[in-house]
Amino acid sequence: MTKEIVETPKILTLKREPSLQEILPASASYTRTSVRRFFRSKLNQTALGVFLVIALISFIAPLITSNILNVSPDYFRASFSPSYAPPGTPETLRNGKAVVHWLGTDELGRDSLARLITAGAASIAIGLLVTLIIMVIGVPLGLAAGYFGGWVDDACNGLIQIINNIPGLYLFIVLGGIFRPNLVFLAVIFGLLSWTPTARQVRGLTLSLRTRDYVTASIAVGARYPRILATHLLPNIISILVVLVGSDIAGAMLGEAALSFLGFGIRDPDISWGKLLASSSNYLTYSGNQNPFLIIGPGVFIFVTILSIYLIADGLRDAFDPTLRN
Amino acid sequence: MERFFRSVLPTLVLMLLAMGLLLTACGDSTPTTATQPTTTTAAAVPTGVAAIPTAALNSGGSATTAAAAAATTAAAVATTAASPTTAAATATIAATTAAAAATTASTTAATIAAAAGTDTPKKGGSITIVSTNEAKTMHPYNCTDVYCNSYISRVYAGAMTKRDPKTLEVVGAAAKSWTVDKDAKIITYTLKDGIKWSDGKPITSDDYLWTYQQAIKKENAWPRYAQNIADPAKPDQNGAIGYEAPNPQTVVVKMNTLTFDIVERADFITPLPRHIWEGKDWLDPTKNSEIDSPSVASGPWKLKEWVKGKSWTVVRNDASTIWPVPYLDQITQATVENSSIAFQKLKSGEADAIVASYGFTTQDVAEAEKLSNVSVYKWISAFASWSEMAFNFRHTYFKDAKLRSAMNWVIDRKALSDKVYYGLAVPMYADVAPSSDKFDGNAVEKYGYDPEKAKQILKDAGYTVKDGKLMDPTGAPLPKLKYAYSTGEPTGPKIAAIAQQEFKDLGIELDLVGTDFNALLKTITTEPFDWDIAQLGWSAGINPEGFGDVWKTIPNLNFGAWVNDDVNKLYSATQREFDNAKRKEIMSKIQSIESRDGPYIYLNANTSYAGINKRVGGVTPTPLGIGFDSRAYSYMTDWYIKG
Amino acid sequence: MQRFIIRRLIQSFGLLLAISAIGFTIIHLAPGGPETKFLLDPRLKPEDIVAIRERYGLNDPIPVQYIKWLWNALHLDFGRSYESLYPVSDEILRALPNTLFLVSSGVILGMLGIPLGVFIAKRRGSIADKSVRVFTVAGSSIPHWWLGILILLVTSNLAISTGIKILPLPGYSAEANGNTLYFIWQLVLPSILIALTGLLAYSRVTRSQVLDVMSQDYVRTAKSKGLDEKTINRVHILRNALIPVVTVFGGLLPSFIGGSVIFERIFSLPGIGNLSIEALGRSDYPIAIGVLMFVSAISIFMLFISDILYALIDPRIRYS
Repeated sequence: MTKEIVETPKILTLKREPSLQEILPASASYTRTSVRRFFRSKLNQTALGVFLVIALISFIAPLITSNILNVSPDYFRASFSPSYAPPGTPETLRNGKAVVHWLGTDELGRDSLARLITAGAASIAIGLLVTLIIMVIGVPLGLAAGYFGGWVDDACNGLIQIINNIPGLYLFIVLGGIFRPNLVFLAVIFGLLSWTPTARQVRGLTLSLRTRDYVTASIAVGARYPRILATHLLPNIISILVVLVGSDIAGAMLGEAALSFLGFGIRDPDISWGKLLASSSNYLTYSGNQNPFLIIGPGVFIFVTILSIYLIADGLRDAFDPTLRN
Repeated sequence: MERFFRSVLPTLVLMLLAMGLLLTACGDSTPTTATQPTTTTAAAVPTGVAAIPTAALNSGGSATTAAAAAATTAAAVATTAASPTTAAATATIAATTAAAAATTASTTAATIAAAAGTDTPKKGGSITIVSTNEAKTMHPYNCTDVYCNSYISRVYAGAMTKRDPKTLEVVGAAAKSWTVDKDAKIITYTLKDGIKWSDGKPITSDDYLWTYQQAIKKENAWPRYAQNIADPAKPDQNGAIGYEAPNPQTVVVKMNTLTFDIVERADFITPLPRHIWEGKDWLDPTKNSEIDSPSVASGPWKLKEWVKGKSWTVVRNDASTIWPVPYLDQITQATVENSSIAFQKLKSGEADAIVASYGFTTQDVAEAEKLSNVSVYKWISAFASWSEMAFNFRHTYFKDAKLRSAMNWVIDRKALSDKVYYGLAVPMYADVAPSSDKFDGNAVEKYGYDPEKAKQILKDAGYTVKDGKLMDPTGAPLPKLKYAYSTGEPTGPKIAAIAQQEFKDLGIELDLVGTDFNALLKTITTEPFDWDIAQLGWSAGINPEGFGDVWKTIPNLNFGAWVNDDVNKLYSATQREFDNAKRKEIMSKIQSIESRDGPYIYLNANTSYAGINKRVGGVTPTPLGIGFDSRAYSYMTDWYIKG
Repeated sequence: MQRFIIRRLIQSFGLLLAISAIGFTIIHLAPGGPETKFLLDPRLKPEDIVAIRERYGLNDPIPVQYIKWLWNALHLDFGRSYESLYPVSDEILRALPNTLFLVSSGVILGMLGIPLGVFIAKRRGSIADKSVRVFTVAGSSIPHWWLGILILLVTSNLAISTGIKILPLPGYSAEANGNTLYFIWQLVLPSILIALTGLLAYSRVTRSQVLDVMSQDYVRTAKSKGLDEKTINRVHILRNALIPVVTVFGGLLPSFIGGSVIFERIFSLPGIGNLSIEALGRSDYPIAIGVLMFVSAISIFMLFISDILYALIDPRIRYS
C-alpha cells in the first residue's frame, strides 16, 4: 500500500549494529538541545506552524462553519442553491441569513470551503490515530522482543511476518463489507497493518542497548525491568520514534485517499480529503463547472499538509540525529 | 538546505495552484460547434399494443435493480429475462440508465428520424464501442448480467419473438407464426423457413429441444432454471412444464399458468448449434472452446476475437438469416474501466459509441452535446428505469399516510432531476413510468415542491414541531430515521443528501447510511430490518403489469412490507386480462392508489441516451433503444459508416 | 545454512496456512454471495437460494468449507470462477502479465534510485542533494494515482483540441491495434508513476545507507591506510551500503502489488488487483481467495529469497 511505499523502509537500519553515538544514553539536556536545534530553523518553524494551523482549523471546523461561514458543510437546498458556483457567490439561506461561498459550491450547491475544512478533520484524525496505534502496539512489542529475546522474540517475529504478508488492500475491501468503514475502523485496520517496521526498529535498538555496560550494570544491581526501561531504553528510543511518527501520519493520509478512490474509504456521507480528491477528476471534464477549487482544493490541502509533516519529520531527524551534530 | 526550501516551497504551491487553474481551463477547451448536434428524440409509447396473444410482459415483471447496482463492482442484477437474449428480457441495468419523459407520454408513435440525412447505407467499415464493464462469459446458460447478455445476443439469435420498435407489438423473430391453446396452456411456434447457422446448417426445432434438455439438467445448474421452469405440482407457479419438437419446423411449449404474456414467457430458449456442441462439455470452457469462442453464429455477428479484459471483436455474419445482414464489417467493444477516460475516448474519436449502461454519465452528456464529432441520442425507453425512496412499514410511524404525503411534498423532483441527472429525468408518481401506454397522468397525485403545504398537512394531522424536531400526534418525537442507500454510483449519495436537507425542514432527522449495493440489499431484505427509508431504483419491464409480483414478494422485493390488498387483487387481474384497454383501466386504478397511499416516494424516471460519432449513420432511437444493448431491436445491423 | 533454509521453508508454509485461514473466513463472512444477483427476482424462493448456495458448497459451516478448499488447494485445485467458469489458475495467469509489467517496471525503473542515492550521498549538502531531497519530499506528498488521472485527462484534452498527442489514452484503439510500439507508449505513464514510488523509496534508503557507512570506522581506517578513493568506494562503501538495499526488494514487493491495483484501474490494465476487486464485488469467492493466496505466496517467497541472498552476501550474518 502507498503507506509502506512512501516511507523509508526502516527495517534496514536494524540489520546493522547501531553506531556508538546513537546509543549514548539520552539525557534531558540532549533532548532540550535537539528541540532548540529544531526551532532554530525557519523552515521547521514554518512547517510546524502551517501544520498546526491546518490541524487546528480542521478540528474546530464545526465552530468555524457555524459561526464564521454560517453554513454547514452539507447544507444546500435542491431547489435554490447554485451548483458549481464560482468563488465568492452569495446565497440567502433557508433561515434568511446571507452568506458568501468564498471557495464556491459543488454540484449540489454545498459550500466548498466548509466541506474542505470539515474533511480535513477526518484525514488528519486518521493519520494521527493510525500513528497512535502503531506506537501503542509496535513499541511495547519491540521492547519486549528485544529485551527478553528467546521465544518472545521468535513469537514477535512470527507475528510481524504474518502481518507483513497480509495484502492489506484485500483486507480493507473484505472487512469494509462487514463493518461500516467509519473513521475509527479504517484507522484501526491501517494501524494493525502498519506497526511492524516500528516494532522491528525498536527491537533492534533495544537488543543492542541491552548489552551495553550501563544496562548490564543496572541489572546487576537489581534494577527492575520497568526501571531500566524508563531510565535507559525509552529516552533513546523516543528520539528515533519522533522521526517515525511523521512518515506514519503522512502514509496513513495518502493510504486513505487511495482507498477512497477505489471506493473503500470512510463511509458515506462522511467526507475526508481523500474522498474529495477521488471525485475531483470528475469536475475536470465538466465544462459547466465554474469552480476550480473543486478540482484543486483537496489536492492542495493534502499536498500542503503532508509536505509540512514531512518537513517537520525531516527537521526532527536532523535535530535529533547525533551523527549530524557536528 | 533551508534557504533552498524557503524559496522552493512557495513556488511549488504556486505551481500547483497554477496547474489547477490550467487544468480547469483545459477541461473546457474542447472544440465546440455553434450548431446543435442532430439530436433525435423518439417519444416512445406504444399506442395500440395488440391484444391477444401478443401482449407481452417481461416475464415476471420485474426488473431489477437498479439505481443501485454499482457499475464497477458489478452488482448488476439481471433477473427474469424471458430468455437471456430476447428483446423482451427485462434485465437489469445498472445504475445510471434509463428512460422516460412525461410530457410526451401520450403522444402517438415515435417520431423517429434517422440522424443520417440523405445518406444511403453501404457495406463496410468498422466501429469501436467503449464500455466500462466487460462480460465475464459468453455461455448463454451461465450469463446473469447485462454485459454478457449484450455479447451473447449479438452472436446468438433464435428467440421466437421480438418487439416491433415502433408499435412495440410482439412480432416473429425466429418464428414466423404461433398459436396459443388457452385451455391447454400450450404454445406452438412455427419456425421461419430457411433459417441457418453461419456454417450453412439449418436451425431446426431439434436445436431448441436439445438446448432445452441440456439447460434443464440439474448438473448443468442453469441460473435461470427457477425462473423459466415450473413444477407441475404447484399450479400457480409460472413457467414451462413441457417442451417438444414434433417436426423440424415446430416447437411446442406447455406452460403451467395462463397469463396474457404467455407467448413471450414460453420463449425462453436460445438454441445452441447441436451439431457443434453435442458431446462437448456443457460448463467447462477449458474443455469446450465453443463456450467463450463460438465458431458458429445464429445472430447477425460472428465472434472474431476476444482479448479478455481488453477488447471483444465481432465481424459481420454474411449468412445471417434471422436478423438482417449488417452493413458494418466489424464491431469492437473495448473495455476502459474509468468512465472519464472512456468519455475521453469518445471525444478523441478513438471510440465511436458509448451508452449509459457502459459508463456514459449524465454529466458527460452535456459535454458531449457540445462536441463537433459526436451526436447525442436521447430516447424514452420502454424499459423505464426509475428511482424511489421506500418506506419500511414495519415501523408504526410510517403507517400514517399523512406523514408520507407530507414527505412527498418536500421533494423537489425537478431540482433533483437537474442537480443529480443533469436534466435527464422526469418525475414519477406511481409504479408506471411515463414511457408506458399504461401511464395515467390524471390518476396520480402530482406532488410538486411545496414545503408549506407539507407543514400544513402535518399540522392538520396533529403533528407538532418542538426544537426543530417533529412530534407525532401523541407528543412523542419521531426518532432519527435510518436512510439506507447505495454508494455504488454517484447519484445515490446526492439523492440522499437532498432527502436529508429537505426532510430536516419538516423536523425529520435522517441518519444517512451509505453502503455498497450488496450490503444495502442485505440490510433491507433480512432481519432485523434495521432501516427506515431505503433509496433504490427499478429497471422496469416493458409491461408494467408485471410489477405486481414485487408487492407479493416480501421481503426480497417488497422490502418495506407494504401490503395493500386492493392493489394486489388489481395486479392479479391484469395477468388474466387479455384486453389491453381493460388492462389500462385497471392500471389507472393501481396508479391512483399507489400515488396516494404511497409505498414509496416515487422520484424520477430516467431518459436514455447515447453518444455516437457522427460518422456512424443509421442510428435510430426507438423505445427499444438504438440497437446497442442486450435487449436491442436491431443489434446494430442498420448502422453504417457515412460518406 | 541448510538447516536455516529448511526452517524458513517450514515457517513460510505455516505462514501461508495462517493467511489462507484468515482470508477464507473473512471473504466468506462478507455480505453478499453468489445468490445476491438473483435476490431481486420475484420468483426466487427461499429454497432456490439454498440450492444456489448448495451448488457452490456454501451451506456447510465455514471451517468445513475451509478444509475442503484446503484439501483441493493442496492438490493444486483452487476451484473455478462462478462467473467465467474458468479455473482460478487460468484467470490469474491471464491477469498476471499486466500486473507483472507494472510491478517490474516499478522495481526496475525504481532501481535508478540507487545510483541517484549514491550520487547525492557523495555530494551531501550540494545543490544536487538538496534538489533531489525537495523532489523526494514533494513527490511523496501527492498521491501518484491522482497525478496519473490529471495527466491523462489534460493531455487527452490537449490532443483533442490541438492535435498534439503527448500520451495515448489507455485501452483498445482501432488504429493502433496490434501495434506493439503504441502499446508500449500507452504503458509509459503508468510505468513512470509506479516507478516513481520505487525511485523515491530507493534513493532515500540508499542515501542514508551510504552516509551511514561513510561514517563507519572501517571506512575511516581504509582512508587512513591511504587506499585510493575508488577502492574505498567500491569495496567498502558501495558493497556494505547496498546489502540492505538488496533486501528492500523482497520487502517492497507486496506493497508494489497492492499499489498496482489503483493503476490497473485507471489505465485499464486487467491485472490481478483488478481481478480480485471485481471478484469481491461479484462475490466470486474462488477468485478472491485464489488471488489472495497467490499474492501472499509470492511475497512470502520473495522474502525467503531475500533472506537467503542476505545471508550469502553479508559475511557477518551467520545462521545457526
